Amino acid sequence: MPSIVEGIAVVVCATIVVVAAFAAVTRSELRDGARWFAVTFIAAAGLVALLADGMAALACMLVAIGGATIFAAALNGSAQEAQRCSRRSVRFGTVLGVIAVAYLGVLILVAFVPPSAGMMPPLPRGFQGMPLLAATFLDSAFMELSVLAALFALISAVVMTREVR
Amino acid sequence: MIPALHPAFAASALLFVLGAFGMIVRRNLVAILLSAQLMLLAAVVAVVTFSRWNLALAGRVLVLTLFVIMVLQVIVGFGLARALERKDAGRDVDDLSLLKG
Repeated sequence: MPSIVEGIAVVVCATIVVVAAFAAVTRSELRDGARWFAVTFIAAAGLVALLADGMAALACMLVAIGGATIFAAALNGSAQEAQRCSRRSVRFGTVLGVIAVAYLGVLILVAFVPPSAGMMPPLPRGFQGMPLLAATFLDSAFMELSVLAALFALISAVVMTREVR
Repeated sequence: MIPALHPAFAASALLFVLGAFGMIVRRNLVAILLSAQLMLLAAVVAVVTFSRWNLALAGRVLVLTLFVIMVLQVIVGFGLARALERKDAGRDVDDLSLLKG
């Protein structure tokens, strides 16, 4: 991507992030705040995708987390608010989250079977850094930390679901 | 430094300030949790931007860990908010003055 186009895209995304975050923080109604919060997360996902050299999986995960947050926030409002502000966000976030997890799974496999071995087709432009990222992730101390935190998240989700129900 | 990164740094700083503003000013528990999410989002943007600046992959790996922390905050924070709201105590943080129970 030409640097001038990339620079303009970064400026646009950064502006949207700031304006939407200001609107999300200052709105008093949950429905409006959740909408602006969704805009903030989607624009931030675009910013991350631009800065991380097209690593779209990171951006998809960010949008999925935003959708989950809005869903959780809407659960604390009335049933009508939850229905209005969370349904589309959660569907969108869930689909992107599933794609992101599947994509990361494939790329972790790619990290074990490098494309240079000739067993995998070449990755498209913009996604070629992901095998290196997956290999770095598997080699780093963050992997154990992330796996432990993910297990804790899973246990917390089960406990909280039982308690809240 | 790559010129395109200046707006990302500025957006990260402003996002963090807005999240901190929301955490300090707002009294609703859900609004406070959303503001905390904004502050974590600012950290994610900053880590990715510095990772791009230094051309280091470790920053992007750290982002994956930050995502897990964000999910944990959603699960635990909003679960607690929901449980408190069922007891009619979760709307205003000024009402949450006791750790008993």
